[in-house]
Amino acid sequence: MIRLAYLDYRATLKERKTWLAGAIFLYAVLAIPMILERPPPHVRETIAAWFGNPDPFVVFMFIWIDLAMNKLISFVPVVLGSAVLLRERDTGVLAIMAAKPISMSRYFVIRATSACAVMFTLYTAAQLFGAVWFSFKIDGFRPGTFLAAMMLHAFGGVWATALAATIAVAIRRRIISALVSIVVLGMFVGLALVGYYQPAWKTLTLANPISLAASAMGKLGALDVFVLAPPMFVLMLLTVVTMALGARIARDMEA
Amino acid sequence: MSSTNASANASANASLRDYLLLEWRHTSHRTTCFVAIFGIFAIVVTHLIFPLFPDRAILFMKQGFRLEDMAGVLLLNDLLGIYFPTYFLGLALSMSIVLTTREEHRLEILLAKPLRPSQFLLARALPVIASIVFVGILTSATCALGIALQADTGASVGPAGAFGSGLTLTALAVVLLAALQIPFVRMRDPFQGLLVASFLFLLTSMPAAVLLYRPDVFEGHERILNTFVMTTLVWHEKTMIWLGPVLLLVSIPISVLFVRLAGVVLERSDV
Repeated sequence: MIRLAYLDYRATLKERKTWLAGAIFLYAVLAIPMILERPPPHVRETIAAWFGNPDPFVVFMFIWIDLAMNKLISFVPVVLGSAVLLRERDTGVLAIMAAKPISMSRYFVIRATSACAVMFTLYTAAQLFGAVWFSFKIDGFRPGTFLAAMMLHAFGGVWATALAATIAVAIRRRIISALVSIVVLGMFVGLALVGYYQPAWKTLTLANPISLAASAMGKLGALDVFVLAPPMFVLMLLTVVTMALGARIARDMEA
Repeated sequence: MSSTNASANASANASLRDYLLLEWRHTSHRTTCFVAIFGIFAIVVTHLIFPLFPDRAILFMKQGFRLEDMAGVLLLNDLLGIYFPTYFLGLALSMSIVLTTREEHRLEILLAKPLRPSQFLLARALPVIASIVFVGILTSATCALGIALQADTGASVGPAGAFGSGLTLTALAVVLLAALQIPFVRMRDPFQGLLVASFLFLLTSMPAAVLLYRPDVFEGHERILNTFVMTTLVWHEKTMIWLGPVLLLVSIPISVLFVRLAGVVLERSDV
């Protein structure tokens, strides 16, 4: 099973859509310093007030998460996850897979895990390259804090991929499920930072996994394992539960 | 001889019309209704949530996007509630025109019928365009109604301008999705098409983010600002009253032209 997941991961990494997604991540890394060069005073002041921190690095992190990474995790996971099982069914390959000694549930878990792994690979590669690139381009950039905060956010991307795969097997129509996933993830992403704009809603917004993934934003001055580990654990648990639900639904799927 | 030709042409037109009706019936109207409801829901939620935000958050948007009042802030956010559903509905529906059909090895069978590729594409694209226009008009009307109910309506924006701005973005969605059919007829993987189209959507929204975080980029470039930044629709709402419907009408022949071009590309490419 692990060998099959690894082979599927390798095959997905070689697909053109994965390379295109990688190019979009690269574009985000290269473009953001230009946008950040001279933020107007009212933007700096408002972001400093929202996060209770006047450090210019907070403005950078806000723009990086809100403008770039949150937007990418609203559609890259859909591209990677929404084809799971349905593409094989629509191209007639699933009948062959069904004849193999592997259940549909297990096959779903393999395909969804490899899609999540590809998302994680693309995401972390972008953050690692960003950590180097931003060190040269952004004054006061803190690579350690950046990587720690973005590692938490990466778990949000992985959960989004598992969700897109589960929605796909639940709806059983590729394009419609992709549309539903984009709408659902679009709503989660759109509401992700609302808790900072309206502090009275902060606790409520933590029910949104993407808000949880961005929760390091409010504690950039004191990021440590006790701040990062709980939301990471919750997001991992959510990913496992979402994938288990998908596997349960996939059990009844016909080739 | 000429009467025989005329009768053959009439028969061909009738069968093409029948085919168009068949494709119309084949289009997922349930999906269109679902997306229309989502668009209306997004606009209603915007009007309920935004007044609850602290003054600082509203001021941030007013200053960043150069808006005069709350009605302007609401309209700007409503416009996303129009553009997002119309664009992604059109994308989802248009992916089955060629992309998924090719992947499922049905395209060669469909193109074996006595029909030119451009006619085939047009027959499948027109119901998609109609669905986008339907959702665009419905969500724009909802936005106009929401703006009409806003207390400070009329100071900077009014319902007619809001409706026109919504139609402008609907026209943009129609033209972009029709233009996307050209690369789509060459692609093999539907999800590659989804990725390219989603990125294009982000690119069209990006100039507004540049205005927020780097307004100096547009200094001395008023024409670029007014052409590419979505926010400027709110500034020019008086013009949008007439320009929005005109742009939506003009977008239909432009999109037909793009689809025909895609047909030419399909004719010259391997199925």
